[in-house]
Amino acid sequence: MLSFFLGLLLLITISGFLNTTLHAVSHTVLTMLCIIFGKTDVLSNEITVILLCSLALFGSCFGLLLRGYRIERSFKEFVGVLIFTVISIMLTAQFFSSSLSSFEYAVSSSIIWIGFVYNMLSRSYIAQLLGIFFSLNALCLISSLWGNTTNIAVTLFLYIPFLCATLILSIKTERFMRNKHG
Amino acid sequence: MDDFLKALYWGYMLCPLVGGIGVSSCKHYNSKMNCHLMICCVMFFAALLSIICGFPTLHFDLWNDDGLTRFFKVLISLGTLLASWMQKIFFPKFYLKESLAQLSKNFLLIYSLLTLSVLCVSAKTPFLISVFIVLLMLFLMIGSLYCSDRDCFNSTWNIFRIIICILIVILFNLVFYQHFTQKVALSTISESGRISILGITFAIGMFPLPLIYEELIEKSPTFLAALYTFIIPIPVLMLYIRLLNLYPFARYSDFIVLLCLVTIAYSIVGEYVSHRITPIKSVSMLVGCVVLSIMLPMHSNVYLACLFLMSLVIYAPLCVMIDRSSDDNQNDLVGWLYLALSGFPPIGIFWPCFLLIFNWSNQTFFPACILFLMLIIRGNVFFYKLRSSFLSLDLKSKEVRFVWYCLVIQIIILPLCFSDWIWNLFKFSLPIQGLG
Repeated sequence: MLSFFLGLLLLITISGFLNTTLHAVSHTVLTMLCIIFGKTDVLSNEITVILLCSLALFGSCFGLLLRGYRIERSFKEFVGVLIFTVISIMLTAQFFSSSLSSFEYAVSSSIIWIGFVYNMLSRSYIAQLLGIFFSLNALCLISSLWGNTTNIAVTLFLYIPFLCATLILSIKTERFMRNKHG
Repeated sequence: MDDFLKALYWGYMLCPLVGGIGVSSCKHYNSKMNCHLMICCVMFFAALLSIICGFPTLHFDLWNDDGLTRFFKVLISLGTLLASWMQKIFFPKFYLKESLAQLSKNFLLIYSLLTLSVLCVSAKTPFLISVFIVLLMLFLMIGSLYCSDRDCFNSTWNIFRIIICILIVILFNLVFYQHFTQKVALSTISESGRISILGITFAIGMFPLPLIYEELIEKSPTFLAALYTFIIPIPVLMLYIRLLNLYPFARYSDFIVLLCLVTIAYSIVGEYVSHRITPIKSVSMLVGCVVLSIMLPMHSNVYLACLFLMSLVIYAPLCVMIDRSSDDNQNDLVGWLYLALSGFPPIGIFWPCFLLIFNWSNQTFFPACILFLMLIIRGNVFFYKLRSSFLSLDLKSKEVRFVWYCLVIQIIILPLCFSDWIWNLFKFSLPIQGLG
C-alpha cells in the first residue's frame, strides 16, 4: 500500500505540471484512494462516504473556479520539485525511523511542505492557490486517517474559506485582465 | 447565577451582530456613529460584568469560559471602544466623506471581524480556533476588496495565504501528536511541538512577517487599520497560550526567545533608520515582548503577558490614529506616545518592562541583558529624534487630553483594578481539554 501511495504521489506531482484542473481533481482522487485504503484504521463507513463526497465536491469546485487559468512552468522547476519531493520523503522517513507509521508521516508531511514552498515562492496567484490546496488535502488525509470526528469536520470546514478566497481571486484577476486589455 | 452568566456570555457573543443590524438601520451619519459607540460601551461593560461576577465558570463542550477567556474578551472590547472614541476625536469628519451605503458596509465588516475574533478567543479546541482565524483573514480580504478605497488586496492576500499554510502545518502536527500520545510515546513528539510553536510564533507577526503587517496597516483605511493592530494578534496569541498547555516542554525553546529579541531589534533598527518615525513598528515590539513574557519559565508569565497585552490594546490603535492625523499637534503627541512606549520610568510600559527584565535575569542572564541594552538604545533614539517636539505641548487641546487619559488608564487604573485578578488568573484558567 505504501509503495502505491508513493507512486500515486509522484504521478500527481507530474500531472500537476500539465494542467491546473487536472492537478486539482487528481489530487482529490489521491486523497480519496488513501482514505479508502486506510479506512480500516479509524474511520466509520458513514464518515468515509461523507468525506469522499465532500472532497470530490471541493475538488470539482476548485477546478471549475479556476477553469481557463494555466501556469507556465519550465523543465527546471519540474525536476527541482521532483528532487525536492524525493529528498524530503527520504529525510523525514530517516528522521522518524523509530516509528511504525514514519513513512505515512513522511509522505503526507512532504506534500504539506511542497504546498508550503509552492505557496511561498511562486509569484502567480494560481500556483499559490494550488500550494494551499496541496496542503489542505494532505491535512484532510492525515486527520481522517488518524484524527477523530471533530478534527475531520473542522478540517473539511477549512475548505470553505479557501474556496471563497479562490472565488475572490478569480474575480479580481478577471477584473484586472479586463482593465489591462480595455 | 448560572443563568445570568449564560445570558451575559451569549449576549456578549451576539452583541456585535445585533449591533450591526442596529447601525445599518440608522439613517444619519451621527446616529450611526453614536449607535456604534453605544454598542462598544455595552460590549465593554458586559465583558467587565462577567469578570466582576467572577467564578464559577460555565462549562460548554466547544466554548471556553475561564478567566483568561474573559480577560481576552475585555481586551477586545476595550480596544474597540478606545479605537471608536479616537475615531470621533481625531477624525471627526472622517465618516462624513463616505456615502451612507459605504459606511454601513464598513460597519458590517467591523462587526463581523469583532464577532469572529470573540469566537476565536472563546473556542476550546485548536482546530476550531484555527478555522475562526482563517475566517477572520477571509473577512479581511473581503473588506480590502469591497470596503476600502485604497488597494490593500495584495497585502491581505499575502497574510491570508501565509497564515493558512502555517495553520495547516500546526494542525498536521497536532494530529500527529494526538495520534502518538494515544499509542506510543515518541521523542519525535517534541519535534512536532516545536514546529507548531514556531509556526504560531510566525503567525503572530514575529520577525519575517512584520513587513507584510506594516504594509497592510499602512494601506488600509484608518479605523480598520486601528482594529488590525490588535484584532489579528490577540486571537493568535490566545491559540499560542492554549498550545503551550499542550506542549509544556516547548517553553524552554531558546529559538523562540532569540526570535523575539530579533523582532524587537528589528523594530528598533527600523525606527532608527527611517526618516519619518512611524509608530507602527512599536506594535511588533509589543508583540515580541508578549511572546518573550509567555516564554518565561515561571508561573508569573501569564500575568506579564496580560500587562503587555493591555499596553498593546491601548497604544497600538492610538499609534495608528496619531500617525494618520494631520493635525498640528501631531509631533507633540507622537513625542509623548514614544515617551510612554520607550520604557522610561515611571510612565507607559515601564512596569511590565521592568518585571520582564527582572524575571528573565532571575532565570538566565543573556536575554535580560540584551533586552535592557535594547531598551536603553531605543530610549536614546527617541530622545534624539523627538527631543524638541514634546516640550512645547498645548495641554488644553482635546487630543492631548485624550492621550493623557489613555496614559492614566494604562498606568494607574488598569494595574490597580486588575492586578490582583490577573495575578490569580493563571490559577483558575483551565488547561485545554484535549484536542477533540
